[in-house]
Amino acid sequence: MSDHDPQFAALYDRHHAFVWRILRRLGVPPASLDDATQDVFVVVHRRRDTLRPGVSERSWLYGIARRVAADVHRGRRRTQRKLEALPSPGQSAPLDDALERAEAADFVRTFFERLDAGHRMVFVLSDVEGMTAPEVAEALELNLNTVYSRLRSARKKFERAVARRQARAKVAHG
Amino acid sequence: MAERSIPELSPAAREMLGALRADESPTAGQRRRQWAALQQRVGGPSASAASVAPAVTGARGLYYAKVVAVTMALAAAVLVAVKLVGMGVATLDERAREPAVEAPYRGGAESEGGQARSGGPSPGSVDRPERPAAAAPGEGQSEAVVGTEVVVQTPVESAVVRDVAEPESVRPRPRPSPRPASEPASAASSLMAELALIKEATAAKQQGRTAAGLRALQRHAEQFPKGTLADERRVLRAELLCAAGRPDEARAEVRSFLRQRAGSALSGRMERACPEGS
Repeated sequence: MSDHDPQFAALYDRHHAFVWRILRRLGVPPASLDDATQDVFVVVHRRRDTLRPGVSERSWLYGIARRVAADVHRGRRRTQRKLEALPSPGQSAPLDDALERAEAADFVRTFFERLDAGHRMVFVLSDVEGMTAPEVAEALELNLNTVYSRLRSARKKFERAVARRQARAKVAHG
Repeated sequence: MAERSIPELSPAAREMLGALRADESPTAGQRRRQWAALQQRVGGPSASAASVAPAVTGARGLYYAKVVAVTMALAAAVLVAVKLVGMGVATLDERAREPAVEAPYRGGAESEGGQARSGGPSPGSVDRPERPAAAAPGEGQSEAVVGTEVVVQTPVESAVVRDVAEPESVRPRPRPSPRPASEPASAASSLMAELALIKEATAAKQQGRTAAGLRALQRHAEQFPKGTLADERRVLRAELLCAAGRPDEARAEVRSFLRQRAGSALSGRMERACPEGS
């Protein structure tokens, strides 16, 4: 990593994967993830001195990522015609050694689609990204109690969905 | 407190969320590649877009350096083309103002007292022999007119003289047409289109969608057979073929590439595209 700015390099190391996943969760298409992730860190590099003490780095990064994702969506709407002209890629079967993981990931994504946006992001930041409730409240600009309430509700729904999936699997495999 | 009333997730639920996290996380290679590109963008005044030597060497650094260098070259070509068009317009405008050049002298010798115009062949006066002045009447008839000088131009010379002599207003000299301003711009958009297909194939490979990735590469090969990113296409294709359980085809691609493109910066990556035992 760079010798010029070791603090920035360390920040990048700590949070690159988080930014990548959050951008994806915010609807940035896979083909644009590279560029969008870079854009986030360009902003981070430029504004890293503005991070106030006591503010969670991830909360701050989430805010930047959300704005970058919004820019991507605006850009996509402008180029939508070009994208529609491309034949849509077919879905081939995943590699055998990653099949189970891919199926589990698909299940979770389907669950997220059925969850409303407010509950979804609380659940993602908390239980996928491991942020604390205060960090989530800060990132999403929500009241702390609202975060707890939504997290409780989302976890209940997720557990029910997982239980149904397990039950179906038992029935299918005997 | 509200927090205490939130039930913890079950192990099964945690496992599924972990699978999602792993599935959606970037690879170490993606992280390194993005770092290299990021350094170019935020490295300061010395890390200009024109710099071809990225801080991180290797195939992926060269890939981005190539894209940046080609884009800069195309932008410069656009500026040159615009200038040429401007110059071309100015030149045509100047010519339109030039007085019309008279048609070359093509008639017979002008004579003053029967004398032919002297001084060598006049432009266009092809195959028209110049005759010496006729002897004045009364002058010694005994003087033989010897050595009548006849200037006869050979067909080749006459053609050369004709070409040189013809004024531009009669026969305009062909001039190279200025490169249309749209050509560099379309080349830039062509590169972006190439990039989009390579990115699509890369994303499909990362997601394990080998068939989709190979289809994207097929489109690239059809649309840009000798594109700027042709090497990247070949390496990706070998990697996707290997991942799709077609190692023989993958290794054939590897051998072909290493034979034809031994000096490529992507050789190392190609050598690892489908190792034995895959």
